[in-house]
Amino acid sequence: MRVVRAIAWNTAVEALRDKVLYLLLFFGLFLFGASRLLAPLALGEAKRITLDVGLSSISAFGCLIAIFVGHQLIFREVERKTLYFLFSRPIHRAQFVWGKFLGLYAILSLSVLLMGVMLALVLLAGGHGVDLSLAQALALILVEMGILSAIAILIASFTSPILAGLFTLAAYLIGHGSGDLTDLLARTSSPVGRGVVEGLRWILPRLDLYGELLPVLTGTGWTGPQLGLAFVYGSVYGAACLLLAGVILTRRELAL
Amino acid sequence: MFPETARSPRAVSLFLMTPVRGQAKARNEMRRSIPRMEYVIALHRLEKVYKPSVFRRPVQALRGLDLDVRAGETYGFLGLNGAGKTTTFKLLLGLLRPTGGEGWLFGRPLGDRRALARLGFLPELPAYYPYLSGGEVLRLARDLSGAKRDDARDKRLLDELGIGFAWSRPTRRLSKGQLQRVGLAQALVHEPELLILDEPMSGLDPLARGLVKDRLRAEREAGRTIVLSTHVLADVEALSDRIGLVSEGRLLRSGRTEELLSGSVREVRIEGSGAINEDVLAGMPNESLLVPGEPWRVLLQRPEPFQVDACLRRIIQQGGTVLGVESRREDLEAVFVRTMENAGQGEDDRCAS
Repeated sequence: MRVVRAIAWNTAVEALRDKVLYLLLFFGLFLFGASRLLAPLALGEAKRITLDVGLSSISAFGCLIAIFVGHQLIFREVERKTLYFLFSRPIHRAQFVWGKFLGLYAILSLSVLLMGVMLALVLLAGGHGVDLSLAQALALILVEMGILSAIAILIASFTSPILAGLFTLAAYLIGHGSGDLTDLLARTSSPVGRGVVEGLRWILPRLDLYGELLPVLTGTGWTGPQLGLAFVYGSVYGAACLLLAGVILTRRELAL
Repeated sequence: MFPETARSPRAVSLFLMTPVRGQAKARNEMRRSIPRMEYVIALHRLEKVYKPSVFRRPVQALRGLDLDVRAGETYGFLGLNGAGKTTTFKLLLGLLRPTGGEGWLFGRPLGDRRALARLGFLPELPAYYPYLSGGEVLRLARDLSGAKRDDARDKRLLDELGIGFAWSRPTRRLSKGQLQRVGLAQALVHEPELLILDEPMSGLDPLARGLVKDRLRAEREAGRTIVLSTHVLADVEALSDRIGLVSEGRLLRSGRTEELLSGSVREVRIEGSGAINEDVLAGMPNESLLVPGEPWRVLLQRPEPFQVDACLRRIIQQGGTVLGVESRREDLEAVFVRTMENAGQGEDDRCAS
């Protein structure tokens, strides 16, 4: 655990010193500008517009950080030759993978927290209330980012950083459309076709579970089972990706 | 193959064992026996072929490398660029997997984490996280090695290596030589039993070289095993108990430092007075010469011991008086160059045939 903690701490420090959090400044300005520009056009739906723009932006900014930091976490260690420093010590490669993930996730959590606070401040400044559903939405976005970070690390464990970035972006886009696979499954009659679609439903991330904004826009929030399913699914999917990344990295030769 | 290690028939059979009959039993016996045989490193016919891609030719970096390093000794691992030294280190660390042969580190398979816990490694081009200070690098090294944090000791270590200021300075602001010494400190920080140092003197000024050499001597005195690879042969000669010369992935020569150098007298100078003539050089090596004068000098180039005896007898027979005899031995550099040239010649012969 001490090894994982040390790697996680180092990864988080590196991301901070890479000025990743500067992105949040852009987020704040964007959110403030968007709420000022769009709210007058919304005819009484200013809170809804602000929430919609704000949460979508938090998801997009967070996922950008997850993809662009996550896809090069492993490659940077190889390129910089710091792998010698790490792997000349009694470290299991799976510990390395989990440490990297947790470090990245700590930064993502901090980012989402700060962006959430900015959104709440903009809402309060506009005279709108803030309720629990906002916190639920932020928690779901965090789970989504966990899945994306794990996917980025998994793909980066066996391919180049550019491909890893592209594939993770593709996973993000496809994952948000994965609800369509359920419709497709209902319309497919051939057993082979059903098998393929069913397989894709299992392999591709179900990010549509985390993109639903209606509960927060209406203020009803999510039910316990909905939240539970989203958390359990995210945890299992992310853990599976990281375990696989650990196995791949253990079997891979690291010729520097 | 293992002249110094294979002392008993049992050891010989273990090392020369070929994987033919009773393979599993014999291999298990060998594995069990390695830790008792006090070898820190034992490599047996180790091979490594790099296969970059389907479109590029494979490169054979190691071709049956045999190497054994005993506990407490300092081993100089020498070779030209591309001889396979760094590949050997990568195999020892488990960063690469051998494509043939076998190897053990502290009696465990290469890359085993329990073995790695007892090892400190300094790479050829040490690289650390540029945003961490020297002190943070050492703290991280301790955490990753499972050693207790001890900032006072780490600071002292940097002080002893002449870079106490690096404790709080980011590594990106350190020079190459300073970074090299931080590298040595991180290899030492968890007090490992084995130190593997790839070019530890690289980029060091003479003062820093002296400090590092002193530190390595102290570590040797403390009983640590050191494997040292460097192109500064004078340092290897001064520090190593044993030396191995590797070329094209094979071990060409290996032995105690003084043994490697003892059979290599470069020149014998005999100084004397009184009667002497050119006949003393009869039957001596071609480049030998007599420098007349008072005292005169006879210079014998690469003589065999019997030639020196014969020369001395002739001088006395001619009525001369021998005032002194001085032999000049080859240094490690000369032995290294000669061994590598011979290896190259052998390779050429094989290609021609």
